[in-house]
Amino acid sequence: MEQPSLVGLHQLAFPAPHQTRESVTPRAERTYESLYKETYPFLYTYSRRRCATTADAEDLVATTYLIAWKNADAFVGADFPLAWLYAVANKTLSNHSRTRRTHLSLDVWLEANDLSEAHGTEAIVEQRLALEMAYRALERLRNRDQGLIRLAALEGLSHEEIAAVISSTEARVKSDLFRARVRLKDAYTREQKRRQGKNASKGPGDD
Amino acid sequence: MTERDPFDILRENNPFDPSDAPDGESAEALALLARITATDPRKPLARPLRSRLALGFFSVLLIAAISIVWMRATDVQGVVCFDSPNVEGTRVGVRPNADLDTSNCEPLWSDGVLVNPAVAEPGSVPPLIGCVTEDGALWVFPSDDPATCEDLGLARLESGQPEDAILVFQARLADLFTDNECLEMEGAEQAVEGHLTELGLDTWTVVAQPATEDRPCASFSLDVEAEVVILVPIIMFDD
Repeated sequence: MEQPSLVGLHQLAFPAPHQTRESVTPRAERTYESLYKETYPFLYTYSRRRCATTADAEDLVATTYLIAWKNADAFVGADFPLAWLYAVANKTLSNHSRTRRTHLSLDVWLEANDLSEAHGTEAIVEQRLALEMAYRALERLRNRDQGLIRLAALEGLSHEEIAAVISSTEARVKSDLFRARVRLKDAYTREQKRRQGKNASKGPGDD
Repeated sequence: MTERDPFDILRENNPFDPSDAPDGESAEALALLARITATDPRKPLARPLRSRLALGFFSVLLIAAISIVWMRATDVQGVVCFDSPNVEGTRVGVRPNADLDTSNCEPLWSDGVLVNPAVAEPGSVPPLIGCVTEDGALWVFPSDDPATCEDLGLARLESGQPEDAILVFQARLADLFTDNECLEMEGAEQAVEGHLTELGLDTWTVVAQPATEDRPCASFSLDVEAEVVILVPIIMFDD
């Protein structure tokens, strides 16, 4: 008999940040291949956001799906296959990050949002500055807080969904994420003050 | 400068959109799918699929770690037996017995599951040395060289050393959930807490998700980093 996933949670919705996700194939019709094709763009995007380079992101996608292949019963039988994949990818990264930094660089982030130095309107300059400070603030948080913020802000997951990814409970995620957001705000405020102080110490013509 | 929530700033400037990603029917996705499904899922990963993320090196660690999270308790593998003193060699995961030492691998050698004429005659047990990985798994290699673990970048498991409490805890959990066809959540919680107390794992906590009518039995996952045991409800199996 096939073994189901250990994660027995209630029905989750996974609205993608920028598009409406189609309904997942009914469990009885699922195969590894069908789930692979359904989840591919979401796992790819998740990996692209978590890795420093496209090559690393593609490696992470390949690693994750390979692990899914070796554990096909659990993957196909999971209540929430995408959460299952995110958890595997998350675990892969946390095991790997001890030896190697795997974060998307600020430059790539800015470029992806058309906020690089090449674009010079005032509104874009302000937006770029805000993103830079938010990015630096995020980097100052401990890994767990960063992970929670990324899952919530970038993947658009609910508390229940995040709990499924990191094998926690909804209640704990809720409180941990709240604290993480407070710390992020503190770090952002400190970053603002640091820049204001830096600008104030510059005289005319220093640029 | 306008005060904005940095959380919203990050969300609004999300760098990548799934609609821009290759879809599951794209050439690159299908090519990867073909490579993956061409591999035997029972065998260790083949070299062509090894990646910059050091897939081969991490694969057993990951599968051992992930199996604790995602598989039934029967699939927890705290001990891995190798056929040569080489982390790239053929390996077999075993559910540990009460003694977390090299004896877990002896039956594999004596029964001919592991064979390597370079270290021992088929059917005989070579000298075995136990090494401990960073994640607390016990890897057992055929070798009488005391420097083997160090050479492989692992810690040595010395005989007579106090057993790692977490390894013992994992073994006890495996026994607990496999010896019981359907352990109810309350009983599982009490039993797990009892083991934590006995082993002095005072900083660990147990989080039990509520059982439901269709998922009355308990199984577990471990978050070793956070020191949390999560009990999750699963269905009762009719084998």
